[in-house]
Amino acid sequence: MSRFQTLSELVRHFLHRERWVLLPLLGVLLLGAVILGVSTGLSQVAPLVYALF
Amino acid sequence: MSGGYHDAAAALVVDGVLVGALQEERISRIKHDPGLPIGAALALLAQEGLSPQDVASVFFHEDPYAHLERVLLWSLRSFPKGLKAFPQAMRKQLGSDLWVLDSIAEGLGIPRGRIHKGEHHRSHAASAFLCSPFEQAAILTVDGVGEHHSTGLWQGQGAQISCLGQLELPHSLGLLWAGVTGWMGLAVNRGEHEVMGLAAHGQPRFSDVFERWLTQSEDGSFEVDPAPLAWLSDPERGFGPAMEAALGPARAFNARWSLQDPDFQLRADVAASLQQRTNEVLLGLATALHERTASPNLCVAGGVALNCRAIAHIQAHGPFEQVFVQPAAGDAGGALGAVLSGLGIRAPMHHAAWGVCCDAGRAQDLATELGMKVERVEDPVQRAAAHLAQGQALAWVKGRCEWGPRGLGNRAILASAADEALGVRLSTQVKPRAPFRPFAPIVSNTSFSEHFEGRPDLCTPFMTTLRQSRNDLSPATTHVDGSARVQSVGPKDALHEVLAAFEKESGQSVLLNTSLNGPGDPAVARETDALAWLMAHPGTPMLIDDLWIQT
Repeated sequence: MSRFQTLSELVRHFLHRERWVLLPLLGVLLLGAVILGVSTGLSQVAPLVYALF
Repeated sequence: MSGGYHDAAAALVVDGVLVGALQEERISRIKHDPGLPIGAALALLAQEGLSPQDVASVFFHEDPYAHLERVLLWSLRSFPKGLKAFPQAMRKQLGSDLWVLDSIAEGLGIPRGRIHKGEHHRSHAASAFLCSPFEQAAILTVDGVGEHHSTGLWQGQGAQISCLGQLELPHSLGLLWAGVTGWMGLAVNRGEHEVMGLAAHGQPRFSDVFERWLTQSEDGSFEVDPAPLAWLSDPERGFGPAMEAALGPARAFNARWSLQDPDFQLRADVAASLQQRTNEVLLGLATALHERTASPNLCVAGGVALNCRAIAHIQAHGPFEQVFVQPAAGDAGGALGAVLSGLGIRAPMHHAAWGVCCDAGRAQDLATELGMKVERVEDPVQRAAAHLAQGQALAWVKGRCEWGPRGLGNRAILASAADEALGVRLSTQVKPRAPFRPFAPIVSNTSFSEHFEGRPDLCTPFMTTLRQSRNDLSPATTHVDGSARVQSVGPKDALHEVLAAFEKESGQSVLLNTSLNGPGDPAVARETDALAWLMAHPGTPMLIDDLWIQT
């Protein structure tokens, strides 16, 4: 539950007028982190990463 | 609390009064522990008979979201150069640093709502000013990097601190020192003090290089040329090919130092050049700060504030009447500043003994169990003085361990400062270190001016400045350029009586005083650390309160 407080503070920080341009980059990174977490390892994500690059 | 990078620490305030401050390394036994100071916090709470559930608020020394923002911004700004370090940086950010406030809550077992973020340089500023004896002062904070800033100019009044201006990355004195430290083959963020010690052996013949890399404007602000540095692309080394092109090839990492090395003088000259330019730039900053505040008092904090050569330069040539640098001026001090500014209280610091106690009774039981010779002495001060007067070294443990990186009289290896051979034996056998690094002297306030230039001041009790020696009576603690990082002690300090008794026995009034730790280890904190040190150094007896222990 406490992690939601951190996520909410994080989003509030980046919603600031001068910082919102970083939100897409942050979103991609967080999504990558979530995928890695859910798939429990790099092997599940590797084909997608290779396709991207 | 401060932590997550290096020198994690905790400070505890109970009912508005500072009751303890401790670096995590003293508990975890990991030098410069980069983790979170949960062990230190629990130890401080236990010492006060408290549990984590009694904690109303925890103030962390910086803002993890602004920290992440800086990493993202600099990854974009430095693309594609910074791409190499990007995955590692993001793994650290998203894997741990972002969740630091949650980790503290989980580590202490308290609700997340009690954890508050701070601001890195404001915490530094508070750690200096709110611990100083000044009601109002100018405050200078200088380190590698906080969230976005490397340097801050502040003004303190009562318990309030206001920001007058800050310098952003990449203009950072700390990162320039980190780069040169890496070039010297020393660990970045750890070996900077060795570069400072090396500077005394050199001549500033590379001053033109550093004047080019570090330029200063009339308003005191400075710019650092990022070309020779690699803090983003290669943070472990901190320097890039441009530094090697200008100064020569880097030393191999962790290579042994020898004064006879063919390139020793080159390294020393580079260190001297960097030190000279740092002195000039910090003096320029201090002067600009004085013009803006008109205060006669200056407080300095941040990792660069531990550069006692630069502090001495500001004291000698700057416009301020008094300068104060508290003993844990680096990132550890952020914990202290965070809690004091978070609560809006002052805690003028008169001593450094804020850590955990060494339990003499438990030490006696343990030492006996380990088969050591344990003797309870009637007059420990006289016994210590007589032993030191015979030209022997002594491990001295008393009361609570010190706050900050220096041994300031409660966890110390003591010896006669007049015995140069004993100093050499200590630096080669008891406490092996690079041959260019001096030991520090300790002297009573009353004898200070007889041996060192000037008088004791607000920095000398904490070894955060240095002085020139007036005579050659202390060769074991005098650096090659005649300087000494002297500690002054008053009647309330633990070693004052020992110094007086030692003078009666030997006619000498200066002792060598170095922190009680083995090579690569943090300073001794508790009785178990003390006895572990004794087992590793069987030739040196230890005095814990009134227990004389030998292996």
